Amino acid sequence: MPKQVTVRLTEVAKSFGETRALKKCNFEACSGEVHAIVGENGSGKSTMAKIMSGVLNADAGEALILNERILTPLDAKRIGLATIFQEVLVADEASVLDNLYVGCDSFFSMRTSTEERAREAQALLDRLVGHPMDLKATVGDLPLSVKQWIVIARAILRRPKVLILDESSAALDLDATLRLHEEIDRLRATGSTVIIVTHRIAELVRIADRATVLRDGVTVGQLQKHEITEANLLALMTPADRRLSEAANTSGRASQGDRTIVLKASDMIAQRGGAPFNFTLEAGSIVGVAGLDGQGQDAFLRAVARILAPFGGDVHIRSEDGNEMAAVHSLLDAARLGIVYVSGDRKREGIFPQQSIFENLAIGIYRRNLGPCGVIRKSELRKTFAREVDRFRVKMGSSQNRITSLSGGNQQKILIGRAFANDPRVIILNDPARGVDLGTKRDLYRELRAFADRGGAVIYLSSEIEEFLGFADRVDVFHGGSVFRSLRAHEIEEEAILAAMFGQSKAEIVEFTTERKVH
Amino acid sequence: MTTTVTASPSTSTARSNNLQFQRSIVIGFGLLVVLLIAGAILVPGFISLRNARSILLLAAFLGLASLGQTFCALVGALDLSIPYLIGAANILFPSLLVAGLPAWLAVIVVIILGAVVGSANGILSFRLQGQALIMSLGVGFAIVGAVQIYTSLGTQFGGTVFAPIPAWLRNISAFNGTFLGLPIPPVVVIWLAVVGFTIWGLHNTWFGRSIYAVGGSRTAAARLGISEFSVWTAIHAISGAMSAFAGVLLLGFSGGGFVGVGDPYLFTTVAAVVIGGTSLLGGVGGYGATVLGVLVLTVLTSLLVGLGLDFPAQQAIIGLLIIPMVAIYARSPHIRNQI
Repeated sequence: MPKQVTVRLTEVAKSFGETRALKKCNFEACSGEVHAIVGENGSGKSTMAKIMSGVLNADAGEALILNERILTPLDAKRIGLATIFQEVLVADEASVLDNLYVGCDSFFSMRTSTEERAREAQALLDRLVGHPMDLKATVGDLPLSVKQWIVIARAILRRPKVLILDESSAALDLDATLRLHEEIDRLRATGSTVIIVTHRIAELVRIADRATVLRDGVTVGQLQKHEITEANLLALMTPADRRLSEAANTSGRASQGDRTIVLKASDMIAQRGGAPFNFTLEAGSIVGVAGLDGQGQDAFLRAVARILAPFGGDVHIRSEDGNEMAAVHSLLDAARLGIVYVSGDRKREGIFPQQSIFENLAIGIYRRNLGPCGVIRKSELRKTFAREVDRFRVKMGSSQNRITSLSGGNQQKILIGRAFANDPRVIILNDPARGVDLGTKRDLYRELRAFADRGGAVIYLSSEIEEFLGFADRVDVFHGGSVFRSLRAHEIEEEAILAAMFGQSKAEIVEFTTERKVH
Repeated sequence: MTTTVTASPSTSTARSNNLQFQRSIVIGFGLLVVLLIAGAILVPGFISLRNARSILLLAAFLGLASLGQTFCALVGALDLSIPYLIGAANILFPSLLVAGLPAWLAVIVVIILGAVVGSANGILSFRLQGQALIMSLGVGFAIVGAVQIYTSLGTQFGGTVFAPIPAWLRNISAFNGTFLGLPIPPVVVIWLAVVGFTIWGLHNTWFGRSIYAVGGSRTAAARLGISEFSVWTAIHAISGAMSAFAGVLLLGFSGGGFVGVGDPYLFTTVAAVVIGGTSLLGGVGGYGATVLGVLVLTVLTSLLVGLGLDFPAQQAIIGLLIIPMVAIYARSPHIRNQI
């Protein structure tokens, strides 16, 4: 099949008020190829994907899909372009089947029969999810990962000529990602164009035929298959002044001296039916927390921060003077005793979308700056705000702009700044780097390490194993509701963590992954 | 601000994304000016000290009654019990006077009762959030009914309660009332003080910021240890107290307790909030905006009365005003303009 250009963007620009999301974007993708768009957060990847799908229109330049201009999502659907967005967009009350075919019919008639649909959907979904699915099940009752599959399957069922995946594998674990790749291969073989927007470098090295790199709204380069390496991508993505080799691996661990325990959880039952376990956190240490979806690690973090009460057990933190352990019974106890919680789900439980950037950070420290009758003392706030913005190199316009004018990574920096502004003693982070670019991650690792070196302690949950390497002093891997294995610094490596996540020894997992790769 | 770390592409950073809200303020002012000009041209004597005084007097009552509604709107709630609490206070207060309570004590009792009913309303509507609207309406009905039963028990007055109103209360709310010798009804001065304090408080106190936080994102607020329940209860209590207060002041204005005195405030308190530009979905707006909405509504009513329109025509026109207002501000920016 001769390759033809299916997607072409020429000199595309797009601004949102003062924020210039895309400045100059040139892009070209062909039929039968997997083309990755890579860049840090705020580099304009998602904007680019939205322009291709007709959700946004370019301010300048031209975007042609299959030689047509796309102005609305409806146009995109008509010519055979499907997009899987970052958000998991499902109707919770409807059945799996209805969710898969939503929007397929005209108002009065159905295009295909229900039986035909069910057959087609069943085959695809079983293949994606990896086990037989009930199409009549209500989507709201299904786990997040299955919802993600529904969104993916919905797009694939349209038999798209162009498929755009915008960070769609973020919620998928390793095994699932491999199944997704098989599906992408299948589409490529039928001559479709697959465009992947991602920051998971490992993923695109494996699957992409070509990669286009975006930096600050400008397409800075295109790599062919053999050129797609981690080093090349990073070199293109990072501006020259930041091209330092200060990645996670070099942030360095603190010296292993004798350490006092700052936080202790005893006889914890984080998840219904989980076995009780103990957990200790030493001053100056960064403890990683890992696990497959729903193995209790998330509930454990919430229990320590007292967002939810655990099913059993209690949490103690060393008092400020260091002599006794104080019990943490409520969220306010936790805040008073210096425990802060940062969520990776910033849209839902982090930001106040209608408030300014300043307000979004300051809201976390008003309580520490109250005079009589709850009057806020503002003088300190400005200083603290400036300090945190500086610390995390937040890229922003006026501090009075709404927080939503920032890119996702910068929003997250403001939220982490909110946590730091409280001068905490223990920082609990629940997958904070989800959907965040490399630069932000580096800044985050650096600051967390500095925090630990000053005597603080960090609990860091991540869904990406790579994050722990060279960063965490210990990784507690959860399986079946409690800590399955606690890995010391010298034992922290990808295979070992992965093995523990599956509740297995390291040897077995090495075999498992090599087998999958051969596939 | 000196907090810009990387050079921002455009230096006119003062133009903020709160444009949406600022625009509603500009439109409100524009509307007010247009109405005043129209009044000056069409109605003889519209721009006069006399008329200004009567507009401000009526605006003060509406403004005080709208304070609670603004707070409720800021967290995404609506308090439909306001008109009934006004009516209930309006007949309860004189009957307490008849029962022999000193006037100052009766005022305090009525306001406290208003706050208690308000917080009960807040607790109930918080527990049953899907039905919060009908819940506040139900609480209002129950209270006004109860007070009517109480007031008609001891007296033969029924719906209207007569009692000797203290002269100071008459002076506060009367059209020809004076404040420190100036020809300004004291209720206007009270209102202005409340306006100043509320606007300042919303921005400079923990309670004020908590209201915006809960209205903006209840989950994010909960993570910061802000109790949605406390905020919700407190603002309903304030709303109840302000309604009761407005009911007492209206008695000084009208001279006789009448249970239906609050009825117009069902629509006008919500309308003032919406015209001012506070989103009924929560998180955006403020009392300053509502003050603007109150003035627009009152000036418009005065203009329509001056033009000789009867009550149904006034109602129709004010009703129609709401549609373009909602269309202008209540929309969130289109997805194309969001990141």
